[in-house]
Amino acid sequence: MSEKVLIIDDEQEFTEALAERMTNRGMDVSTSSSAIEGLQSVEEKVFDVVVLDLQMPEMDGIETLKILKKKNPELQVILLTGHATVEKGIEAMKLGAMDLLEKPADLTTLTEKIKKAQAKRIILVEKKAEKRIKEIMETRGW
Amino acid sequence: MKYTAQEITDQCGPAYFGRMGAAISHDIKNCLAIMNENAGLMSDHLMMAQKGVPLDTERFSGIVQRIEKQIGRADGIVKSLNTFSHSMDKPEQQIDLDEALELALGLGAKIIANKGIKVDHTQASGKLYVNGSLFFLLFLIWAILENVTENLASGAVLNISSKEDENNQICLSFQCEQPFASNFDQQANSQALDLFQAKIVLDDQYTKAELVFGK
Repeated sequence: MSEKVLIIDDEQEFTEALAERMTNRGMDVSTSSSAIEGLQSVEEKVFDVVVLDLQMPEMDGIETLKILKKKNPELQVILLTGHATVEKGIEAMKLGAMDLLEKPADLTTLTEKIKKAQAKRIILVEKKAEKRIKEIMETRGW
Repeated sequence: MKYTAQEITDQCGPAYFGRMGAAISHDIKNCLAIMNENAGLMSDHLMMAQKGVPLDTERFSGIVQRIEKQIGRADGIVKSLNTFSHSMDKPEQQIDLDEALELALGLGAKIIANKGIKVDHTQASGKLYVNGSLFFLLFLIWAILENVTENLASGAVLNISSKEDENNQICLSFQCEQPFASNFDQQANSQALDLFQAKIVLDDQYTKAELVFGK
């Protein structure tokens, strides 16, 4: 099953090239050049993973991460940034980011992390569905 | 109490230099990331060609152009970093005001862009020069920019122009339709203002601040 990935980064030439390379590797990739646009895409389409830049105009990566995780806790977020401080990394992890990579990133490493993120999301979604079924079974008393 | 240039450099220089250094390194990293992905794309295309897929030369040429564009961008950033690094070399020199403003704006471009603020710079019709330390002038312009942009909403346009007024005084004008922060009395800024024999004049609505040299 191909990984559904959304890249959110204001450097459009970066997102275009990265998306093309990931698509060549069999992933289903969408791009957004701003956090606002990215949040809208997540509302409209289901993604396994969001690859998110930390520093963007209008809304930074940390704010975007908070909203993404609040709206969709199962969604996996990998931060990809040129400006990774230890503090930001810790803050991002506490907020539920799966990983943080520094630009320029190695595509093989990023691909591995995306595959792990997709697997993690599938397990979380299955657990959620299992819990829901259990709740229904208990309340309906069939 | 008067401070010397050295004392102010010791006190304020590292923080300003660090902030600009971090912003510049972030910009360079972005250039490198774009070059990295495009070089990777070239490699992908070559690998496909080796497997018998015909090489799309037009597409390949487009990738090369994108890499060249980023090399030019990175070169400009590194040139600014070099000029900035040498700005502390001389305690006093003749400075082209518009050139200094362009440099200050270029160094902090990412920070300003992240606030969602657009800056329009209108240069004076002729060259305007001030005397002093380039590092202090850059620091001073940045301190004003940070103050001015602090309370501006995303999408605001800040107009900056240089001119020689009716009293033959050289000034830099920062103007916006929205009111901006009025806190210009920070000690560090005042010290740097003294070194340039400059003052800041604000209008009543806090929509315009003028840095007037030779107070």
